[in-house]
Amino acid sequence: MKKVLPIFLGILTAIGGFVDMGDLVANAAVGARFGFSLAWVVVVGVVGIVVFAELSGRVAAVSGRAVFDLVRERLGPVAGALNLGASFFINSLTLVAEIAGVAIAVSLVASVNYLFLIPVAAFLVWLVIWRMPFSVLEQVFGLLGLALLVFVVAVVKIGPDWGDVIHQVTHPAVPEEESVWTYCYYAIALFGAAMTPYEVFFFSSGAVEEHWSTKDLAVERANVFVGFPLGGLLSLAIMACAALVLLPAGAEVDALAQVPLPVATAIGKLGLAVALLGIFAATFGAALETALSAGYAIAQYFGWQWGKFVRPRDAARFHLVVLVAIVGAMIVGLAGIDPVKVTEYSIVLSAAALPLTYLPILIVANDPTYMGERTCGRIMNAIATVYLVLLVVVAVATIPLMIVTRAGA
Amino acid sequence: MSATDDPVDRSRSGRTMDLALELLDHQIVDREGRLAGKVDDVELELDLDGSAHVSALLSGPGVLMERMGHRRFGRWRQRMERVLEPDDDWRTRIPLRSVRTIESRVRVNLDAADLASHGTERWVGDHAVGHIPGARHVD
Amino acid sequence: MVLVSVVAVLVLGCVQNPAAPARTADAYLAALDKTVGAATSSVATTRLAAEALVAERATFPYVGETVSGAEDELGSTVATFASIQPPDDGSVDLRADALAVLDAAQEHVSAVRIIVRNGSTDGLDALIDALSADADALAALVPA
Repeated sequence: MKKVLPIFLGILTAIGGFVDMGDLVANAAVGARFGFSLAWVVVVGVVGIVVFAELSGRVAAVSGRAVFDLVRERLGPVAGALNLGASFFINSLTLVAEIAGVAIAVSLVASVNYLFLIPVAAFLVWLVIWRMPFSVLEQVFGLLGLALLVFVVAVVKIGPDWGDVIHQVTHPAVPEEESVWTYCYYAIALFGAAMTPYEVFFFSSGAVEEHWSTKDLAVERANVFVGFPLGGLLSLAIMACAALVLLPAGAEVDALAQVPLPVATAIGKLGLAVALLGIFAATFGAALETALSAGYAIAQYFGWQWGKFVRPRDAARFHLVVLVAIVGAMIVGLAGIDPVKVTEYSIVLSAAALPLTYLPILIVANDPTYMGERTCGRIMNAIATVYLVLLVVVAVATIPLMIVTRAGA
Repeated sequence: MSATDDPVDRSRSGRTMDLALELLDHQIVDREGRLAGKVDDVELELDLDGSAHVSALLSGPGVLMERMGHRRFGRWRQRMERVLEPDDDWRTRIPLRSVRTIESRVRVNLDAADLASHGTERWVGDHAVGHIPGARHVD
Repeated sequence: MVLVSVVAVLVLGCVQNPAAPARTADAYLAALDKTVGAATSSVATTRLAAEALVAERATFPYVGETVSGAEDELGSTVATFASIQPPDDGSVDLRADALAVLDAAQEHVSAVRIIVRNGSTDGLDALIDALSADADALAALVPA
């Protein structure tokens, strides 16, 4: 019984914490434009993140070290610096998107222009990181994120022709009005949204924050193998809602406001309220994670003391980086750049940089110096290697596709 | 790598290691288990028979830059550190005798506060983060 | 460093300049096609949101913000289209027809926004029908 509760809690937190601004925007936008024809990408992406989260969680639990911590050590300072630079830049873009998402979610309830809410959102994100204990922070926003289950309820309430839906999912085809290149571009965007790199940094640093050891591997596996796929289901539900309500009406998603519209149509005010709560929790939780990841990445490269498991005074540089990252994101957000465009850029560039994040994980997970006897099993290795090849293909294709399709126009 | 000029006779045996893999860029952990920077560079001494010997670890602002080839910037940074904190006797150089174990982390028999890599930490703590209410609060 | 700058320039270049002049009738038609797509989206969003409000399935703040967003989006879509130079007489006529439809759509969307922001639903039913008609008129501009 004692073991069951943490596992259960962990799974719920993983489900609720899975979706972020990128997933919200990408899944809804794709559903509204491509229907169900890109649903398979979400499945592929979820399997990918499950594999790599498992590896990085295992590295953290067995070696006591977070993955980014080990990048410089294992790949050298130059490779580490490149990795740091790219990751930090993309992470910062993501943070801008998440904070904007928080502000927009609140603006949809309070009817205030979201720009006024950006400083408020930024301050709250910082305050929660500063004061809330790590495990509480994770659990609260993870559990609140479960509100997004309302999208699943909405799909059921809409009651589509399931035979037709299943057919569309299993027979992906490029819609008539769209070009093959745009289809591929959005496939990559969706993939980048599902396999968010910061998720992996955060997951492994978080494991160290919570002092995971080999005893916690069972919980870790449950979180990853059960929680993440169910979280992926939420992504698909968001896509389905858009495909079933927005697509037939010809409404495309160019603002976060449109994402919960199908829920309002299907369920009503209560559903809308729950959806907005879920969106708030998802973006707020993601903002926390990305801000912390900024700190983790830099501190772990230079070997500074990092983490919330020590007094802030004792990890001063770490907390300064987090603070600067949040302030920077706030300033960029206030410049009024379209948050959906920023989100799109962040997920697409994430996709381009995926090999940078995942290759070190695979290398470290196979290194007996850190893993002792618990190095990666052969099956995991095989799957991870296949994914790595896929990631390289995606990374190489991203920029050209971006240029050819003019960023998905 | 920096090396002293005079070869020294050191016939005691030691561990042979692949510096790049096992020592460079590894995390330094202090006496109390606190994280204290990375091994930015290594100081070598040449033995009489021509083999190299690690005599010290180097860690601190500017050292990594110097090793990566940006020597001028690296040395400037090290000078800046001394200028900003002239009274403190912080070590960039950790002699081998202060090193307790070398696994994936390098444990040293010193306090993090004694190391040059701690300089900016102290400064940020004193002048910035330390002033925010709750800085001494444990999770 | 150089490589990164080159890539950055290329990537930024993807941010399409929608007001780029259309030099042929076909190019103008393509621009119109894009415009119709975007405008239909704004009109559809407004209509769905208004329907939800009338059916008491959504709240005033939410619908207000959503429709305002759609209104802004539509405004910028129309302004961009209007600024594209039509390359020939046929395109000039097309432009006039299109702008007539687009202006009507804008009026209806703004009207919805004003009513909703004033906390009422009076007149929304008629506007919802008008918006449906607008969507049809937009579709008629670019025969498939």
